[in-house]
Amino acid sequence: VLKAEDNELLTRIGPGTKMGGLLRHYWIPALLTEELPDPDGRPVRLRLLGEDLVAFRGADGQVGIVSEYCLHRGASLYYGKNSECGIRCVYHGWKYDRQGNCVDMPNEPPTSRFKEKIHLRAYRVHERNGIIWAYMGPRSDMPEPPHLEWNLVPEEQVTLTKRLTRANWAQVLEGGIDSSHGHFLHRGTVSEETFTAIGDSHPIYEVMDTEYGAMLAARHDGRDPAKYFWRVYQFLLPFYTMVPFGGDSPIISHAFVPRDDTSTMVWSATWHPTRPMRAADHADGSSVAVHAEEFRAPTDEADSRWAPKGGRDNDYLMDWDRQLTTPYSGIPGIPLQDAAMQESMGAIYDRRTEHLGMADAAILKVRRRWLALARAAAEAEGYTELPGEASPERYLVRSCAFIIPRELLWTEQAQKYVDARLGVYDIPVIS
Amino acid sequence: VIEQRLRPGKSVTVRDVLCYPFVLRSQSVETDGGVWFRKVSYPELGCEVSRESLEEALDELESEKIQAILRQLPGIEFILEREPIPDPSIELQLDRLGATDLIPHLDDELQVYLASQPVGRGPMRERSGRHE
Repeated sequence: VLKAEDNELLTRIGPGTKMGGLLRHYWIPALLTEELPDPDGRPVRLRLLGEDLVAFRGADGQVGIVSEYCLHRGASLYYGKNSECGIRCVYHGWKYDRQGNCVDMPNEPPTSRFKEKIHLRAYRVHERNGIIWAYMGPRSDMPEPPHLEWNLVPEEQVTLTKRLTRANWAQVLEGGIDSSHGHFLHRGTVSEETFTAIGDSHPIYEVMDTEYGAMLAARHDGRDPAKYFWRVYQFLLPFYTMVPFGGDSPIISHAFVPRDDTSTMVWSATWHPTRPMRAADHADGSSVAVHAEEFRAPTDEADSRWAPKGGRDNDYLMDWDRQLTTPYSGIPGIPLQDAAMQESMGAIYDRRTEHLGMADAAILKVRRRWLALARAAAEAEGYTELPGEASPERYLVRSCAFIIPRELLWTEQAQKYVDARLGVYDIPVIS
Repeated sequence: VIEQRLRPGKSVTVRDVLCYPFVLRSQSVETDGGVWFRKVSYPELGCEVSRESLEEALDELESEKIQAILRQLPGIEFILEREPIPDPSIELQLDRLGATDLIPHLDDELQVYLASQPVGRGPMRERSGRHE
């Protein structure tokens, strides 16, 4: 149960909201480089934190992200002409550079200085290893984006995809740190061997805050009665998760990026620290087959090319007969299974009606941390630095799974594996 | 010893101890009467709360955590082996938990704070938690 006012605080992320303020403390993955491949190429529409934006790659290869609407009379710059390191509104010819300065105003006399008063909202951009990051906050000295391993390894070692989910970011992310749903929702999709290896479906849960977020551990009874099987998830502020599988498996991470109050862009990364990704990593039955593969035809809505084919209007491609005859939800694939449950909760879930169990302690802990930090940042005099925002190097971590004697502490064992060293994979023992 | 282990060259403050990342455990337990409860605990501090509602249990546990820390302050260094987590919301949380008298002392050195507390008061005193 969450009070209505707290649910509002948690879920509203537009400009001027407290949670929107928290999110603006951090870099945000905005686009894949492949979405904006060519200098002077076609602009791209996107929506982030409730703001309609346009991105363009200038002749010099650098990317600009600015408000979608021209400050003259509000026409969309998506239709604008991208040339010579700026975007020109095709309505009356006003041109903006990457910093949002109006650099040309051809429907005013050449000597007019009107354009000097015009500044379009523009955001700082950093492009790294296939991702275009945006910083929508106020810091002029913001360090570079977080050192997430999946954004640092060579391209062939990572698979990176996006999918649009029509539900509020918090409920989508809470699905990402709800480690118990996999035993049920993904049964029949993930191999039975995986569930056998994991063990019981009702582990003991432990949570420990970290500088970048929290480690969320699930303790399963191992086959050896003298040992426990620990699976350690990562939550990284403000909206990243990492899922453990152990062995030589690639690692999974998600970024749950709020588009607006009622939709979320789910970024999925699977990567291996030392080898290229293989086709088998994404095959049916694989526990890391988390990438949406089939999408709808794009519409005039920003980001619509990332809307999966399965949706509420077609029951998420549900196979009702298979649901009756197999241990299987009937919905094909992990991404659609997750989306179906998260969207079915309503665009913004009313948490006054929920009943949380022991498996939801991590959700509750993370939710309370968001609320506390959002309030602290909003109520502070002046700018308050939030955990992790200025420590990109602290994000170089992994999830992990291991079996250890019962008397050992998982917190100590995890320290051997969670700190990622690029090019090195100390595979935990899980047999 | 505690200063060297946590932050070499720097003293440990009351804030450091309150921002120490203790492990939270969550499980379901059955009582003798066959009723199931949600039990949450900070095993390293030896405090636990069982309630039907997870939220109520965690609310009460967070209050109990502050009390447990205060009770154990004089000898707490033996369990402090991790870096404290900077928490800009700690003042708001103490206010919510009814421990506002700690706020002015957050940046006091631990040993100075302990020495300033009258015997039988201060860190050893029981506090009543306040919940929203």
